[in-house]
Amino acid sequence: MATRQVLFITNSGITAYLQHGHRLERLDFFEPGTSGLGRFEAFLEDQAPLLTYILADLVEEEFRIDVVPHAMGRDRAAILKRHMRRLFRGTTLTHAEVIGRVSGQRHKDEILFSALTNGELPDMWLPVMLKHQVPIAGIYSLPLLTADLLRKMKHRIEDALVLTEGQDGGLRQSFFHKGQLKFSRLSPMPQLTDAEYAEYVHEEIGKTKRYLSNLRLLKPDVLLEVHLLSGGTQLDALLEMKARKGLDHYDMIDLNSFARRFGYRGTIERHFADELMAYHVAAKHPSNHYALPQHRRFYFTQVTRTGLQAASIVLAAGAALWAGINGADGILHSKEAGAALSATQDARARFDQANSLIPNADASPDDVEAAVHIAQYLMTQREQPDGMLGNIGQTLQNHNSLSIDSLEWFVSRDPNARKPATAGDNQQVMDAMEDDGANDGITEQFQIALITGRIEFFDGNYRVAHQRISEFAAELVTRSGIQDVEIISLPLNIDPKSSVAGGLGQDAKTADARFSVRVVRRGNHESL
Amino acid sequence: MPGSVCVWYGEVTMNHFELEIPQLRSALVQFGAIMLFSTVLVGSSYLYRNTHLDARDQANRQLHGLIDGYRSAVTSERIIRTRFADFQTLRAHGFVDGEPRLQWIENIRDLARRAQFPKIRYQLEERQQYNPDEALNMGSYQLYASPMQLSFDLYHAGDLLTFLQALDARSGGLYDLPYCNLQRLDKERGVSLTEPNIRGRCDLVWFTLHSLTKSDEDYAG
Repeated sequence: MATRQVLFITNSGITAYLQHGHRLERLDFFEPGTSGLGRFEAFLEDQAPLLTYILADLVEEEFRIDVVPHAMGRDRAAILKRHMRRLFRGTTLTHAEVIGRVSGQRHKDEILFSALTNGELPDMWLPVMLKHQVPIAGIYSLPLLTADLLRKMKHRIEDALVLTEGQDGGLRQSFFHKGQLKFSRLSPMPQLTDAEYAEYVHEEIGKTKRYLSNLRLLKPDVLLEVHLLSGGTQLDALLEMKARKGLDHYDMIDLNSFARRFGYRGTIERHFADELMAYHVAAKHPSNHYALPQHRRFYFTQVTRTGLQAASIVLAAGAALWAGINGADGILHSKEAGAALSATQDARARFDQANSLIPNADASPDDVEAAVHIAQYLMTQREQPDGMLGNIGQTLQNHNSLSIDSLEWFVSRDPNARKPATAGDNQQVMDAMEDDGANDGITEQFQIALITGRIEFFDGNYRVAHQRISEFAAELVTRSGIQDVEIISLPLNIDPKSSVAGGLGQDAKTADARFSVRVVRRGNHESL
Repeated sequence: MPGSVCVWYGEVTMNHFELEIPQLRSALVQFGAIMLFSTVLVGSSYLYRNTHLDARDQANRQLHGLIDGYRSAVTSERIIRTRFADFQTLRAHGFVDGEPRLQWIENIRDLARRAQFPKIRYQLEERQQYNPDEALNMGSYQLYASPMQLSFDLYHAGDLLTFLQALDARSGGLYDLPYCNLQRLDKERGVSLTEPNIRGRCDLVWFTLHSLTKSDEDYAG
């Protein structure tokens, strides 16, 4: 379904094309004057409002290159507008393109100004279109769009001349320097034979070159690359002339094969480029050149309306989807709630039954559990000295020469403890029981005994005395539960850091052979 | 230009955009209506979803509450069945909700006599709050400790063990024994059969549990 049309306007009239995908259909041609205008009006009246591109290939199109101060945004627009008003006084259909910075002048822009000075378009054709509310996307300059053709050509040197011929227009010659349009000229094309045609084109190219030299756009002795878009017998004649005259810098391009590069799938019957250019403008949808906002207001309205309709569809679809998801969630939650309620009834019955099975008690289960557990805990923490005293007593039976004078027994979580931290003070007993090892996470307990004793019937032989104490300690450590036995002091202090005194004979008094031992036993646990 | 409106400024030579508002009226009305309808549709569907979500969450909370209650009831039944007898024993011995100081002292005196202690002195201190090392489930109870110091004379060290074993066997309460000290009385003298040979001292701590909801007067009563 066609949604776009191109109105190709020349000095001979308007040709209407309809776009069908990658093809164009030539609908009609409307000549200037009352008859053509009437038919054009009838044509517009009959059709639904189609997105319309107006492509102009008119003799009355002027190009000027000028330099303006560099600016951006609204300032640039104001400068260009003022400049265009001064350059082209009789028309409002103007256009400006920044084509680069002026070399050596950072704050100067080089601008290509152009304008359609033909009065027929704004005075005759546009009012009819606006009357029929044609959505005009833009008014486009064929020479300006020719730059797009050049980009697809084998472009070798900086200066290039592109030639196209219009069916109702004439021979269009556009000059480019470094890909930027500098000059364009439309000359009428008389009825000629193929041989005359080639010679005529060659002559016209010569005229244009001379004109470009006069304008100093083309430097003397600089090669100009010429690209001719043509087809049919005319192309053959041009190729024959190229070969005959040795015009190596002439690039003859077949229109149909060239149009394929733009995606055009129709067939161009003759050597005119109208169809290609019309298709290009409709397919590419370039930025507008000449149309004023009032010319495009039906286009903007259509775009806005389409946007609103699309937004409405998206909104409705989104809302429907969202509501659908919510609805599905709601149904799912409803089913889950039903299942949970059903399970609740079953759970309530089991709960009631379990409650009825709890025996009557005058204490809460939690308190019962806590009290029993605490009692178990306290009993497992309690130590009794019977194991330690039994170990010591059994060992002493094998060492009759040793006598115990005192025994201090205490419980500690530190196996290296050398004295009870608690003895004699009840508050200290409590504090030590609460703090002992709690901060270190130590749970194992040790029984520690500090034994002091002496050698019975000591005869002054320290070596034997020491040996007996060592033997006692060595046997004690082998007893069940004993972890360590440490001899703290011996009858004779043989530590190199201390002094020793004594004697032999009747005057010498035999000293007591006292010793002390520290015994560590792993804690024993009891249960309730 | 009647019916047109300036929308925004463009670039370079473009001045502004104009719209034919009358031609947009139907699209605007349609968009507004769809916006309104969509809002109502989404809002009501959201309400529907949330209503059922709340109902589901409430039903789940109720179900999980009952499941927890059922588990608690099963646990309670097991505790009462397996532990209540022990609890009653502890209560009978004065560990729970009691402070049988008289019984403790009577037991000490009686067992010391039976163990043939020539002499014994005891001192029972004021009850204090006690916080064990480990974090225990205390239920509605607070653990208390009453320190006791025993000073005694012995004929033989084994008498002390006999005394302690008898104290255990009597089940007169829960206690801890953190410290004992035994000293030979006359080091030059041999073992006497008629005089005490050893002087000793032990520290005991008696434990009791008391309900936080009951006052001391309740126990005194």
